Formats: sequence, structure tokens, C-alpha cells
Amino acid sequence: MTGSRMPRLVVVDDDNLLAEELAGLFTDVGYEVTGVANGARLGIALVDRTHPDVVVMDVRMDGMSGTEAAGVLQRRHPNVPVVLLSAYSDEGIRKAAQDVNVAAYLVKGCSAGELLSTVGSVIKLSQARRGKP
Amino acid sequence: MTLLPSGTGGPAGNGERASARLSARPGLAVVLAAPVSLVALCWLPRYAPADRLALGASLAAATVVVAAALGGLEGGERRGQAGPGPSPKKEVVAPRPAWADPAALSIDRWLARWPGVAGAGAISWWVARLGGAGLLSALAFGAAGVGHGAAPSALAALVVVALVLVSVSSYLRPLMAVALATVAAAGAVVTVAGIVALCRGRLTAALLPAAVGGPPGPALIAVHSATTVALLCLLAAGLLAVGPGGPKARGRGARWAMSAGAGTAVACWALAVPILVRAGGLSPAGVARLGGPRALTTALATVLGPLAGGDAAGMARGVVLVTCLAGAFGAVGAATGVAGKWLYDVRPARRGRLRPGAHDDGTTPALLARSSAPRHPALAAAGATGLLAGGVALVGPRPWLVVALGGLATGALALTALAPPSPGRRQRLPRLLRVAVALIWPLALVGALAGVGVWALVGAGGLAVAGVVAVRPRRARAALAEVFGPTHRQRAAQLERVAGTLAHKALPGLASALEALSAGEQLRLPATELAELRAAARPLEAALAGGPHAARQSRMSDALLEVFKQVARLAAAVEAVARVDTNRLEELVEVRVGALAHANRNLVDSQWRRRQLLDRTVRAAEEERARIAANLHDGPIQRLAALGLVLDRCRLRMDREDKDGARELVKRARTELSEEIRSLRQLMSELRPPILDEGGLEAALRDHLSSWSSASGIEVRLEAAPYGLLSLDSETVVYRVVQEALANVAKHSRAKLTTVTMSHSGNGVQIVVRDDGKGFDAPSQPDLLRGGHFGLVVMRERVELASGRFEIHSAPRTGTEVVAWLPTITAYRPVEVA
Repeated sequence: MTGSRMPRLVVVDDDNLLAEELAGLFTDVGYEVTGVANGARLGIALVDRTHPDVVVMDVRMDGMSGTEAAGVLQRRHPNVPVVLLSAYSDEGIRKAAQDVNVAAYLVKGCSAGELLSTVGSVIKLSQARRGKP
Repeated sequence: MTLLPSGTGGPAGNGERASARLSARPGLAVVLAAPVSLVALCWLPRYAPADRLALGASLAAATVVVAAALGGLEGGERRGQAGPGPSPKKEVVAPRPAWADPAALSIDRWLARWPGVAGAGAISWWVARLGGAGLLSALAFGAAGVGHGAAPSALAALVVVALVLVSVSSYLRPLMAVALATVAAAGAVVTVAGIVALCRGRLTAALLPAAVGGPPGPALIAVHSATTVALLCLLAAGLLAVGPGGPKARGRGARWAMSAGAGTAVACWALAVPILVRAGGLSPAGVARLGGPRALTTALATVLGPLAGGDAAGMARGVVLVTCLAGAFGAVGAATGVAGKWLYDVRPARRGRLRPGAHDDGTTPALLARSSAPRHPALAAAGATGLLAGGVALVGPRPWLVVALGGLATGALALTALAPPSPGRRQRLPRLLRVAVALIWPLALVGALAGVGVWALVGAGGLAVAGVVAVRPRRARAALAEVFGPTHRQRAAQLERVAGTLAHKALPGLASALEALSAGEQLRLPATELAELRAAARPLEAALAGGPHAARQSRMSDALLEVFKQVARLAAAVEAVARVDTNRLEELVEVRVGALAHANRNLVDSQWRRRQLLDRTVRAAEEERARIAANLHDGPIQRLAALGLVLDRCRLRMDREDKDGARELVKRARTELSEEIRSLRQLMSELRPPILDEGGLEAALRDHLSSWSSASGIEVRLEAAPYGLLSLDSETVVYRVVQEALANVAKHSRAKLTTVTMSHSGNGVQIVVRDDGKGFDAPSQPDLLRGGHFGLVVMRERVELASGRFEIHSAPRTGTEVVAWLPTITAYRPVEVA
């Protein structure tokens, strides 16, 4: 990602601590965290406003779940991939996530390397689809 | 003159056959005597009519003696068989001769059209009894030289009254025994004296009547001899009859001796009379004395001379007096027995049949049971008639009447004894005799009323009747009811109606009703048929109420009436059972329906409550799990995930040799780790407070109360007294109850002060959570559920599952009191301070 614009990223998680840590991690590795939201609706609004390259979002949140929010974002911003990060590893939730075409589904507790690798891949794939280098 | 007690001598009979023989032979003797006497009466053309009448009176008196003797013998037989209280084993089957069974007579049915005939016959027997007793008593007193004129008659009247009272009163039975013993002793003395005199050759002299002047001719001697022998024979037979043990005890020879004595006496009389008549030269007075008591007394005094010396005359008078009184007593017994036979039928019971005297109305005639009941009522009746005739002859006012009565009596006796073997004629004759007797006695009474001294007899009879009515009013009513009751034919018709209704209506109806009842259908008693049966049986019952004799003409009437009674009883019982069953069934159904409805309501409520509780429990469990899951999701997992990220970032910073950055992240990680440990510990405490296990219930409560008070801002006090030892489960229940109650207080009560009290109560601990809040109307359990107060319901269920009790006391503005009681494992025992 050197020599190009830093990927822009939005973190959506109702757990503030984890959201902060996620933002700190991505910041540490060179991402531009355009915003951290502690709820799905706030996250959607943030995406509407900042148009990030990728969204890292929790699944279980008050008000609106991450899956629902991913569906909304898919309709509004089809080019913005969403990576769901959930404490659940249930197949049912994975299936629901696939139904709304999320880019990736990761279980909380995964290593930072796995998370960064997945998010990097998603961004590359997204850019490739959009024809960007 | 020796008379035999006909009804008081009581040898037990040994069977019908012996009794029949005994009754037939004296009857034959009478039969022999009667025509001879009649002929004698007709062969007295050279005597004045008065003398002929006097002679006829003597003959009648002799007949009386014979009849009384017969009554005594037969009465003894009868009484032995029908005595009071015979055990069934000792009952003798005593078939009555067909000709003596009035029930079998066709003429009975004919006569029964006029009830007064039978009734008059019955009354006649009573009159015969009384009149005979009175006459014999008068004879006795006259022979003994007691008084003059009307005095013997007055004394006789008293004797009659006394005898009647004795005969009807069981309390005077010992007197009768004493009289019998006296008679027996006197007879024995006379017999012995006669034998001694005969042996000494003085009998001829003794037999010479002093009244007859001049040297006695052979004819006169023959007459006196025959008379005396006849009297002695009668006395001997009477002694045998009344002596202890009776003919049965002494065997067949004694019975033959009695029959022979009686027969000999009659034969002697029969022989003496024509001789006396043909001898001629006797004055009428002499003839009368020959047959009178004074001649007997003189003869006895002569006979007793060798034994008694100068006292022979007195002894003879005493013997005559005693024997005549006993004879009167016997006549009374005979007449009583006959009347009883007519009134009550005291025939011995046959095996397997209804016992007379065993009527369920308790009318067992004790009087009849102990009195004699001659087999031949006509004989006794004729004897009594002769007694009256003889008495009238002695007092002498109406000779023609005496002759008429004596002739009728003799004719009756003859007819009785001459009963032909033909069944049909056998059956008719006794009834004819009864008719004759029934006619005789009214005539005799009318005639006696015109005689001198007869008023005393009439008075005595009246007194005796009054005495009977006073002593035994029921018997008197029974006699009257019998006289004026329904006729035999009417009764037969009643019986037929009852039997027909029973057989064709009542019993089939009852059977159908019972079958229907057993088949489970509703009982429908044949009410119409039963009413008809009751109506048909009512006259029969009324007839039986007058005395057992009412039904005596047919044994079936007794049995039929008993059947009717049992059927009526059965119907009443069935009806009662059905009524009780129906009523009870209806009541039971009502009660059961009510109980079932109530139980059903309770069951529905209970099921609904349980379903609610189950739903609530499941929901609560799910909620609890969800809450825990959420807590785990929101708490530990997020923090651990974040911690992992922190560590990863730390590694990245260390790779970049950003030591300060790494150190910062390590420090944060340590802080978050500590926070997470605290959070997990709190979660654990919520699931199960560890202090409950480690510090006990009281400590756990204090801990919870402290935190609760801090959170709710409501002051709380814990007052805990020693209460024993609770199981761990019960401690948890108490803790949760207090926890829930406090949660409710904080949520609803607006209280300022809450008090939690734990104290010993019974074999458990009582926990009271009381607040001073606004209170509420304590609802019932279903209302709690319907109102969604699951917390209270769960509290109650928890406590009751732990074998405890749970109550809520509350009212608006009075605060709320939650009371729970739980049993302790170890009862609390206060420490006693020495």
C-alpha cells in the first residue's frame, strides 16, 4: 500500500474498548480510520458521509445488527466491502452474512495478522473490481 | 256320689290312638245307659208324674257323673298334649278324628251362614261350665248338710266364682293342684274303707238304706249294691285319672282300668235303675234319696264305719263334699276346654305347621293351654246339661223341664256315641250335636230362671262372666268377635281374594319391579296391585285381630295372612330401599356433580397456573441464559478480543522497537485484564453468591441488603435470631425470596424502611420482609398469575416446593409483609444458662 492513498476504514462496534483497539491497530499499520461508530445506524451514517474503502463492523449490536447494517450498506454503497467481526461462530450467522454479500466474516479473538490480512485482501479485491490499481 | 274332675286331672296323653280309645268306651257306656233310662222313664206308669220326674232327675245326675268322668279322662289326654309351652320334640301328632273336625264338615259351612249359631254354642259351653259347677257345688254342700234352703245355692255360687277365677288365673294354679291332691286322698280313703268293709261282710248291711223301712228284698239290695259299686268305680277311675303320673306313666293297664271303672259305673247305673223301677214298693221320696246325695253320704258313713267309728258320718260328709267340689271343678275345666276349643282351637300343632298359640299377635290363650279340651265337646256339653238338669231336679220346681233337659242331654250323648262310621254321617253328627246344645242351653237357662234357687245360679253365672271379662278382657272380646264375626263362607271368600291377589297381581308385580330394579331401571312398585292386596287382606286382618279362632276354620288362613304380611313387608322394604336409593343417588349425583365441577375448576386453574409457571420458568431460564450469554458476549468476549488485539498491537510495536508504545499497551492490557476478572466475578456472584456458601445465609443476606440499600436508597434492617440449621437448598430459597421481595419493594412499594426478620418458629425458620410502603390488595394465587405477578408466584412455588409455607399480607397504605416459613434440618434449642 506504499505509494498510494492510505486505505480508508470505518470501525463499527458497540463495545467502545474493542472499537478503540481496532481503530488503534488499523492506524498502527497505516490505515486511515475515518470514523469509529458504536452502533449500526451511526456506522451507516458514517459510511454515507466518509465513503470508506472498507467497513469493519460488529454483528450483535443494539438497535440494528451488523448483518442488517451490512445489507443496508450493500444497497447504498455496493462498492464498499464490509467485514463482519462477530463473537459468534455459528454457521447460521455466517450464512446470514453471506446472504447480504459481506466481504468477509471473522470471529472475534482472531489474531491481528489474520484480521489485517483479511481486510487487506478485501480492499484489494474491491479495488480490482472497481478497476483501480 | 263321686264325681271326677274332668278338667283338672292332668295325666299326659301318649298319643291320639290311646286317647281315642279312652273317649270311645265311656261313650259306649253312656249309650247303653241312656236308652235304658229312657225306657225306665217310660215304664213308670204306676208312679205319679212327680215321682217319674224325680227318677229322671236321678238318671240325669248319673249321666252327669259319667259325662264329667269322660270329660276328665279326655281332658287329661288333651291337656297333656296341648299343655303350655311344650317343646317341639315332645309335641304329639294328634290327628283329630274326621268326624270330630268341624272344619271338615259341610254342614259347618251351612251353619256358618248364621254366625250366631256357633257363637251361641260357645256361650252355651260357658254356661254349662258355670251351671255345672254351681250344681255340683250345691250338691256337695247339700250332701254335707251345710245350711238349709238357699244356703247351698249361695255357697255354690261362691264356689263357681272362685273356680272361674282359679281357672282363668295362672297365679291360682297351685290351688288346683292342692284340690286334686285332696280329692285323690279322699278317694283313696273311701276305696280302702270299701274294700275293708267288703272283706268283713258288712257291705250288704252298709248298702241297706236307712230310708227304706223293713227288711230289704233282693231287688233293693241289688239296687243299692249297683249304685254303690258304680260310685266307687267312678271314684276309682277318677282317682286314676287325676292321680300323679297319669295314665301314660302307669301304662296301658291303668288306662284300661279307668275305662273299665267308668264303664262299670255306668253299667251299674243302667242295671240298677230298671231293677229299682221293677222292685216297686218304693216311695218316690225313697227313690229320690237313692239317687241323691244323702243316700250316698249314708252309704259312705256305713262303709267308713269300721275305720272311723263314731266319726264315720262326718268323714262321709267330708268325702262327698270334697269329691263333689272337685267334680264341679272338673266340670268347669271341661266346659272351659270346650269353650276354648270352640274359640281358639287348641289342637296340638302338627310338625311343620303353624303352632296354635304361636300367633304372632301374642294371643296365645294360656287359659286354654292349661285347660282341658275334650275331644267330644258334645259329651261334655251333654254332661253339663245333665248337671243342670240334676240340679234343677234337686231343687225340684219344674219336673217337666228337668225331664226335657235330661232327655235332650241323653239323646245328644247317644248321637255322639252312635256316630256311624260313614264319613259323611260322621261329619254331620257333631255339628248336629252342637246345634242341639246351642238350642238346649238357652232353653235350660230360661227354664232355670223360673226355678227356686236358680237366681243364685244365674247370679253366679253373671259374676263369673264379669270376672272373666275383668280378668281377661281380650279373651272376652275375642269370644264376642267370634260370635259376631264373619261367617266361614265370608272368610273363605276373603281368603280366596287375598290368595288370588297375591298370586296373580301382587307377587308378579313385585317380581317384575325387582327384576327391573336389578336391571338398573327405575323402581316402579305395583302400587295398584299392592293396594288391592291390602284392601283384600284388611277384613282378614280384622278377623284375626278378634282372636286366633277367627282363622281356625282353615289353617291356610293363618299361612296366607302370614304370606300377605310378608309380601307387604317385602314391598315396603323394596320401596324403602328404592326410595332411599333414588334419593341418595340423586343427592350423591348432585354432590358429585358439584364436587366434580369444583374439582374441575380447581384442576383447570391448577393446570393454567402450572402452565403459566412452566412458561414463566422456561422463559425465565431462557432469559437467564440469554442474559448470561449477553453478558458473556458483551463483557468477557469483547474484552478478551480487545485484549488480544492489544497484545497483537504490542507485538507489532515491539517489532518496530517502539518500546514505549509497547509498554503502554501492556499496561492497558493489564488494566483491562483486571477489569475483566472483576466483571466475571460479579457475574459469578449473580449466579450464586459465594458468600452464601462460605459465610452462610445471614452473611449473604447482610451483604445483599447492604448492596440493595445502596442501590435503592431504602433503609433496611436485618433482625436475625437463632433458628437452627437450614439445608443448603432452603438457604438458597430464603435468599432468593428475600432477594425477590426486596426487588419488589424497590420496584413498587415506595417504602422508606424495610425490615427483614428471621426467627425460630416451630420446627423451622420464619422470614418476614416488611416494608412501610403503599401496600396493595393482596391477590390470590390465580389473580397473581392473571395479573402477571410472576415474582410472587415464583416465591410461593419455591417455598412450597421446599415444604414451606408462604403468605402475603398487605393492604393499601399499610405496607406489605411477605412471610415465608421453611423447615429446618436441626431444630433450634435455646442454650440453657445454668
